[in-house]
Amino acid sequence: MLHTLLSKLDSHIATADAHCDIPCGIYDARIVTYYAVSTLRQIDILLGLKDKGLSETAFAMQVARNTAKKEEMAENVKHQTRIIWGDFMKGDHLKKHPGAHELAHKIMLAGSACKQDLHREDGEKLVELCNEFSEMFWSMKGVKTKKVTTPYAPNVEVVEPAL
Amino acid sequence: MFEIVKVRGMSMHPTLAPGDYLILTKARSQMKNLRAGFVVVVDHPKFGIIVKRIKSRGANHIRLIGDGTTSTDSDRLGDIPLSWIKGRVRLIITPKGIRRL
Repeated sequence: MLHTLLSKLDSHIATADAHCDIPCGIYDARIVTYYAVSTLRQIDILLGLKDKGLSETAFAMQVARNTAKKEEMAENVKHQTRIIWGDFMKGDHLKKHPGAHELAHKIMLAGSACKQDLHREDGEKLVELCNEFSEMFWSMKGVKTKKVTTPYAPNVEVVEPAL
Repeated sequence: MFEIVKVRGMSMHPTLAPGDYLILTKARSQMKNLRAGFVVVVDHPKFGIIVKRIKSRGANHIRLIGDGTTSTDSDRLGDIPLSWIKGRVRLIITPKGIRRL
């Protein structure tokens, strides 16, 4: 209740920065979609391993390597989303896009799902949410977007700024 | 003497979240009692108004650190003269309620 009251007085309250890094002001949502696509690619590679006729040892090694990479990429999605959401999205951005908090949270959950299991639909969902996040981000920056298909596997649509 | 500021950024996560409001006490007499572990708001000439935890205390300065793993490190922030300190954080007002610090 007190928080709600204070939020109505925001324009009179100073901001204290809890910087995540030196405040360079460089934020770009393409990094979020990049890692989401990479996560989906790792899922595809893992799902295709059983058809490769690998020896038991080679199979185990490959699963270990790609699983580690899949989890790293999904964690990168979560990390980069948190930075943009926590440091860049504020004030008027959030007034115009009140769904930003919920969307960031959905990306956290989708990223975790990709880390925990091996379902292509989880990776597709992560890419879809990150595209939505990217559209929101570029809208906040006043930049139009376009959808392009990645010229590499998994050849999915991603949101890019129309620069 | 009190002041309210709003948190922006994640470097003090999980102690502070973006959007939290902080109540600071600003009494000059408190400055000599500041010690490592206290959370303070500092008016930094390069980084502006920042909120951090005191990492260490010298005779006339402090060193700062964030609670988050990706916080700006204390070497970059440098020695902070006591005169730059705006106040010590005593209360955190979050959407879920009020916490003492």
